[in-house]
Formats: sequence, structure tokens, C-alpha cells
Amino acid sequence: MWGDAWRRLRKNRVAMLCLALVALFTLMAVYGELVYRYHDFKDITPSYQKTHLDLAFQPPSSKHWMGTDGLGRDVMSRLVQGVTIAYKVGIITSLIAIPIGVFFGCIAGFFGGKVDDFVVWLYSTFASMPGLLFILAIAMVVGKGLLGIYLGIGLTTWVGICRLVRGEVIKHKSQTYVQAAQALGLGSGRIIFKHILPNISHVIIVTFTLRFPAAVGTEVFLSFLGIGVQDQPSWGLMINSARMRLWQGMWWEMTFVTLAVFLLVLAFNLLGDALRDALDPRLND
Amino acid sequence: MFKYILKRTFQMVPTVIGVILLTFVLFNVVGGDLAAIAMGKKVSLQSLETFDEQRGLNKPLFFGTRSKSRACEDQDFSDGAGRWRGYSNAVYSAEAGTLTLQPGAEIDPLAFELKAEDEFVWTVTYKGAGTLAGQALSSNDWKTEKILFQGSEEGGFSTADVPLEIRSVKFRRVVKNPFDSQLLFYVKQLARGDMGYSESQRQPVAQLLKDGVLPSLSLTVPIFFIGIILSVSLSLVCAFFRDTFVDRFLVTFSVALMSINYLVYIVAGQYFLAYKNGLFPVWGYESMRYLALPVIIGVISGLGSNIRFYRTIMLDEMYKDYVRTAFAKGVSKPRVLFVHVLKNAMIPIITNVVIAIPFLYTGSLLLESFFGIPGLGYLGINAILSSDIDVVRALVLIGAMLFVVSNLLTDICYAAADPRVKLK
Amino acid sequence: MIDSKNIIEVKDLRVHFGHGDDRVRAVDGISFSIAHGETLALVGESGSGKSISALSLTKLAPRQATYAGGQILFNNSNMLKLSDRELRKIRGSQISYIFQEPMVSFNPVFTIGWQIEEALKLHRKDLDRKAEIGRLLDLVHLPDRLAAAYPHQMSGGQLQRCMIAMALACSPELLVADEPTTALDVTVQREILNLLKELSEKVGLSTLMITHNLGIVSDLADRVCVMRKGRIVEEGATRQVLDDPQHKYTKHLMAAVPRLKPSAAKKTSPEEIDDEMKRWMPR
Ligand SMILES: Nc1ncnc2c1ncn2[C@@H]1O[C@H](COP(=O)(O)OP(=O)(O)OP(=O)(O)O)[C@@H](O)[C@H]1O
Ligand SMILES: [Mg+2]
Repeated sequence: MWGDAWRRLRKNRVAMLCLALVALFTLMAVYGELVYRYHDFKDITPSYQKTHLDLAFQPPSSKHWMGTDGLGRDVMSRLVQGVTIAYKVGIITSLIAIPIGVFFGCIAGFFGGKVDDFVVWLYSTFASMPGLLFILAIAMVVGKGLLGIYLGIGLTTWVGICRLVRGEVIKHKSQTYVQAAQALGLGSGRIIFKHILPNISHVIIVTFTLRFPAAVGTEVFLSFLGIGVQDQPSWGLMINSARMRLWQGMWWEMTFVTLAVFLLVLAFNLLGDALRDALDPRLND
Repeated sequence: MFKYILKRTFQMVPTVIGVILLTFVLFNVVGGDLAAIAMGKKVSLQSLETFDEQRGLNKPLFFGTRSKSRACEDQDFSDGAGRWRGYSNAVYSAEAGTLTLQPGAEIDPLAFELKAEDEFVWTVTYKGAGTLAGQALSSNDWKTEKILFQGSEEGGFSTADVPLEIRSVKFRRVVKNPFDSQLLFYVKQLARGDMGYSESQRQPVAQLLKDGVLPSLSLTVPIFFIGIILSVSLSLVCAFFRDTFVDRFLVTFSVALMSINYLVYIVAGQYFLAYKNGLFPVWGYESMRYLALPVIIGVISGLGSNIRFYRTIMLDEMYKDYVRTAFAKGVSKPRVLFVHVLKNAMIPIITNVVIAIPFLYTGSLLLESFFGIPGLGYLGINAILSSDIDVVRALVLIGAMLFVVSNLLTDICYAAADPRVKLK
Repeated sequence: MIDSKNIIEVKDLRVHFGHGDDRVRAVDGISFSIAHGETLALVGESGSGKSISALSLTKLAPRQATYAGGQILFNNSNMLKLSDRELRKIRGSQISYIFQEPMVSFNPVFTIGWQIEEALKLHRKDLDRKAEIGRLLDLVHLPDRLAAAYPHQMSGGQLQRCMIAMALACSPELLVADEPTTALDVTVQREILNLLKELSEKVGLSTLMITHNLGIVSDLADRVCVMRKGRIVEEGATRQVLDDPQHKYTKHLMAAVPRLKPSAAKKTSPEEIDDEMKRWMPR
């Protein structure tokens, strides 16, 4: 299945472009994290945090490709740090949401009956919560900072995954290979995780790719409101400060940050679509 | 039909209970010290206690006979002396982990006057002799004793001519009815329709909600209807011109629209359309003109994903066998699309539309706060920023309830639109 | 030019899916003709291109299909060259279809009556449509009240009758029946086939009958075309093909039907076919 999918994906030029873009962003994220760790370890203020008031508001030049912000900090290096934060949010919220969703989806689909009733009740309760407001409320209760964002997004977005996985597991449960495994007397856990899960892993991968940009978008949003990241250069914070400057004619910070957000989200969205088409050829025309 | 509605209403109950429990768990259990979140750490214990009292937060969570009081925190002196360090007649020894009250000491550790009608209980581990809340303590060995007293009585320590060593103290209020818990209080409050009291605005939440509904609706209702009409028509265009340039263009366009962050729409709209070109007012809520820009932004920001969603539905329908039958009868393509396909596609479309109704009420958080529209979204953002617990909780709860109700409505519409749904 | 005894002539029709290396030649140069009042059976294994050929007659093949070549002559015009408007006039009024799965071939959200009426509205103006619907339902032995029913409220057999009523609504000259009985119960199959036979005799219909079922072929068809992989491998009068198949693929097909050996020279009675079918149709 994977070989086939890869062959189909390779033919899709847009998807390959997006994949390249995603790879580029990933590199930036890793680089940004290394820089952050290095400075954290040495306990020195990294250059992207140092203020140079005399250098404030410089338009893009050969020295500062994307100009400087109101405190004279290089926009480009802050942008790269923003990629790191976006990735952290995308990945950690997935690490919270996907296991919860997959676990509940699997047990509900596989065991049915009371277990299923309980899981359906649980996710319909969560699904009833008003999206953004609920995330904000969780972030508020947990406290400002990245942890609030991780939990807020992670604990609200498992529902969709759970629903998808449950449906898939129900579909697979009636297939012969599962029934054969049951007839052989394999334990339920083994059947679910060794036999069914690998067969639905493509659903999980596509979900990951499509929820990643959504999580990034939400983070930008929360940080913009001042509820998320506090003292690191998150894209939301950058947009917030750049918004004020825009009115004074400093267009560069705003332009480059929004462009970065747009490209990252677009690349993941298109890649997710292409992956779904490649992995699930039934959906193709 | 009536029976069906009744049955579906009944099926809503578990979800409603779930929603109430979930908000309770989020705010009361996970939230921990709500008073501190709402009012900060700098206010007096007395006002924190009042905050708790008003919201039933001084009760046990689910069930219990004792509850903590802010009048005196638990202290185990092997961990430190805490607030007890300040008393002049008390000597703290970190090695022994004890606090020794010198002879003739008179210490009242209660931070504020207790309510006279309540009963309280000290649990104290001590050695030596003295009195606590009017009762004599005396023991040569370490001993733990519970001392019950009325809130109207004196509750402090005193010693005569022998010192009293204390290892740990706990102070609890006695809960007369063990079921009188935070959960019960919350449920009762909801049953009364009481939404709580906004600490930052000094007004009942219900009043704030009432004031905010109209501005919110004036923004969201146009967004809702224009959005549906636009996205359904555009998705029909996609379906009609499937696999041509038009379709491909619209699909690409929707993905691009979807990938632009909401913030960017707002910032760009405000900057270019309102500030630079002066087409619209930038900020405020005075006349219809002030709503135009936020409505446009609201519609555009939702357009991308809606077009894609409706297009998928339409195309799914176009693969069905009945479409081939219609073509084989000689029905024209527009008629197949607008009569046969659309009527079938209406079913999932209705679902999607009705489910969006709660959004009408909650308003649009960002649009409202950016354009200064005094609706519920604006209220919500401000409440979050000022940690106004009651407001946030009320908004979350109402949003969730509306969602549950719209689910019910969806099912009813479904049953009305689709002859296949059996009303049994 | 079309031979005046023929209602339709298909010449070297080619229908392809996809392009380049992935191209599937679903129909790869087939030719056949149907005379007025004649029933032609198209048989062949699954995927041999029967349905695509049938749908191509009025250019109804799925939109991914390309008509790569050939001619379909009907009323002296080449169907493949007609405009959409002209095709619409022919569809349903001169050539109509009966499909394999009656359960999904009706629009679920409209009543049967509405759907039959739509066909009437399109091709036969000025007419008491209510009465006509009643007449049509009567023709297929159904009570009028079913006109108000939705597809999901009816059985497969009833729906297939409605489908026939709808197909006959505008008195077509050619009826294309794509496996009209495959999705039905054995006993219901018999009824539908009898109905079709009765009607085609009554109205003098030409029929293209697509089927897997050699029983149906020997019962209903005047001539047979055997298709395989998009080509016609054998063609001839029914009795001749069934009694003495020439092509080894036809023999193979025959062998798959144990009791209908070519030696069964006498014409089988409907009851015998009935028995046959019960034996080898999966229940
Ligand atoms: N939408 C499509 N896209 C691509 N190929 C198709 C499509 N529809 C049909 N085909 C191809 O056309 C060939 C002929 O299909 P067709 O439906 O005519 O078979 P059939 O003889 O009617 O089979 P059956 O007896 O199962 O109905 C198939 O082998 C299939 O590969
Ligand atoms: Mg077929």
C-alpha cells in the first residue's frame, strides 16, 4: 500500500512542492530549536531577543533580509523561532490528541456495546463544547503559556480522530482477517494494536497532516490574544506587535510573518489532501 | 413526528449531563483555586472566602462532611512554619519540625471572623498543655485531637504556664449535609437559571448576556445567511463545471482562502479597506455601516472550507446511480443538478448549517473584539483576559447547550427532509 | 447509411478510459445491429464492457470515458456526433434504459409517481399525466396508489416494474435492459422477464438485453453477441450460438452452465428454464 501511495504521490507535482516546503519548514524548526537550546544551556540572551533600539524599524536590507522590528530585533531570526514554536504546538498537541482519539476509537469500535456507548457519550459531550471558547477556557484555567495551549488544543481535537478511527475499526472488525484472528483465539488488545491499527494507520497519518495546520492556526490566534506564548517569538505575538506598526507604515514584519503562516498552513493542507488521495484511491474519480 | 421529537429529546439528556459535568470538572476540579485565578493573589483572604461562598466553592467537590476554609491553612510544621512564623510568642524549630507556644501566649490564627452559625473543627497534633477554641489540651506525649467549636466562639490557641508544642494543624468547616457539595450547588444554580456574577464588570452574568445577544446576532446572522447562499451556489458551480478550469480554480481558491489565518483577514481588512481607503469605519458599533466590514470578513473567512465541504457533498451525489437514471430519461444537466442532486444534497447541507447555529449566539470572538462590537464574543474575550470565571463558564455552557439543541433540530430537519428516515 | 430493417447500427465502437499507459480499452471496436422488433442479447463475463457499450448508445458512459472511434447510427444520425440537446430528445423518448439495481436507480427523495411524471413532462407534452401514470403502472401490474410511494417503501421487484413503467413512459423504439434481473430474487426474476417478454410483444419493442444469464438468452433473445475484453467474439441467432458455439470462449461460457448443454436441441419451456435457474442462481 505504501509503495503504491508513494508512486501516486510522486506524480502529483503540487504535492511534491508542498513536501519540499514542509521539509524546509521542518529544517527551520530543528535549527530554531537548536539555537534556543544552545542559548538556554549557556544561559545567554539569544540575538533574536536582544533589543537594539538604535536599529529599530529598519526596512529589509542586505543585513536584515526581513528588516527589524520595533525593538531592533531581526525579523527573520524571530520568524525562524516562530517556526519552532508552531511545530512544537503542532506536534505536542498531536501527541496528546491522537493517542486519546485512537485509543477510544479503537476500543469503542472493537468492543461495541457499553464501551461504545460510553465513548460515544464522551465524544459527543466534548463535541458539544464551543470550539475556540472551550480552548480558551482550558488555557485560562491551566494558566497562560504554552502548556495551556497544548492542553487546550490537545484535549479538544481528539474527538474528530476518535470518530474516524471508530468508524474504520467497525469496518475492519467484520473483515475476515480479524475474524480469523479471533477464531485463532488472539487477545483483543493484540488484534486491535497488531492487526487492525496498522491497517488504519493511513487514516491517522492523513489526520495528523490535516490537523497540524489547524493547531498552528489556533496557536497564532491564542498567542495573538496574549493567552499563549509569553516571552518567545511566536508568530501570534509578532502579528500582534506588527499590527500596531503597520499603521505607521512598517509593512515588513506583518508581511513576512503572515506569509510564513500562510505557506506553512497551505503546504500542510495541500499535502494532507494529496496524501489522502494517494492513500485512499477509492476516493479518486 | 411528535413521538420522534420526544424520543430524540430524551436521548439528549446524557449529553446535557455530560456537558454540565465537563464544565464542572474543567472549572471546579481542574481549575483548583478559582478565586485566586479570578482575583489574583493580592486580595484579602476574607474577600476570597466571600468569592468562594457566593459560588459554593467552599464546599466539598462531590461529597464530604468536611471542607477547607481559607481562615486557616493546613500546616505541617516539619515542612516549615508558613504564616505561623509571624507570631511573637511562638517559637519555630525547623530541626524538630514543631512550633512551640510559649507560656502565656494568646494566638488567634484565624484570618477573619468565622460565620457564627457554622461549626468548625481543629485537628491538632500536640504535646504539652494549653487551650484551643476554649477546650483544654493536655498530654505528655504526642497526641492528635479533634476539637469541635461553633463559629461564634473564640477559635484560637492560648497557653497558661506550660508551653504547648504543635506538630501539625488542620482547620475544617463541618458540612452538615454531606451531599451539599459544589456539584449540587452548581446544578441548583443552573436549575434556577442563575449564571453567576461577573467579578470584573460587577454585574450579574445574565444581564451581560442579555446585553450582548443583539449586537452578536446583528453580526452573525448576516454572516450566516450570506455565507450559506454564497458557498452553496459556488459549490453548485463547481459541480456543474466539474473538472474544468472553473472548478479547479474554485477549489484552489478555497484552499488558499482556508490557509489564510483569520487574523490576517482582520488586520488586512482593517488596514487596507478601512484605514487606507476609508471604505468602511475602522472601529465601533453605531450604524449598519459599521457592520459591513466585519460581515464581509466573516463571510470570506468561512467560505473556503464551506465551498470544499459542499462541493464534496454535491460530487458524492453526482456519482449515485439515480443521476444516471435521470440522464437516461433525458433530463438536462442543470435540472439534474438543481432538482435531483440538490434535493439530496440538502440533507447533509442542512446538518452542517443547523450545527452552526450555536455560533450565531456565541458571536465571533475575534471580529467583535477587533471591531468593537459589544456582543458576546467581545464579552468572552474580555472575560478570558480578565479571568472572569463566571462569564466564561456561562458562555461555554450556553454554547454547548445550544449545540445539543441544534443537534436535535438537525435530526428533526433530517427526518423532515429525507423520506427514508423512519420516525420510529 | 442505416439499413432500413435495422433500428440501430453500431460500427467499430471504441470507448476508452484514461490516457497513455493507463488506458483501459473498455470497448474495443465492436459492431452490431438490432432490427426492428428484434431482441439482441449481449452476454459476456463481468468487466467485458457490456454496460459501457450499452450506455454509449446515447453517450451516457461515465464522464471519464472517451469515445475513441466508431459510429452509432440511429434514425440516420450518428449518436456520437449529436449535440447534448439532440441527445436529450432521444434519451428516454426513443431509447430508454432499465438498470441493474432498481434499489439505487431511483432518486430516494422523490416519489415514484414524480419520477415517472418527469419523463412524461420532458417528452410528451399536452397529456393527462395522472391518468397516464396510472395506465403505466397498470401495464406493469402495479396498483396506482404506489405512485405516491417513495422508493424505499417498495420491494426490489416492484421497483424494477416501476423502472420498466418509466422506461416505457414515452413509448420508446429501443429498450436497453442492463441486467434487469440480476439484483432480484429468482422468483421475481421470472415475473420481470415474463413482463418484459409480454410487453415487447405487445408494443413491438426492439430490445438490447444485457445479461450473464444464458437461460434468459435462450428464452428471450433472437440473436446473441458474445463479448470478451471489449470485443465481440461470436455473434449469431440464439439457437445457433447456444447449440453450436464456435468460439472457444463461448464454449467456456456454456460449460459454466452445466445443464444447458448444446445437445438440448429442443426449445426449452419457460418452466424448465425456471428450474434451471433455480439450480444455478446463487440464492
Ligand atoms: N468509471 C470507470 N473508470 C475506469 N474504468 C472503467 C469505468 N467504468 C468501467 N470501466 C472499465 O470498463 C470495463 C467494462 O466495464 P463494464 O461496466 O462495461 O463491464 P460489464 O461487462 O458491464 O461487467 P458487469 O457484468 O460486471 O456489469 C471494465 O473492465 C472497467 O475496467
Ligand atoms: Mg454491467
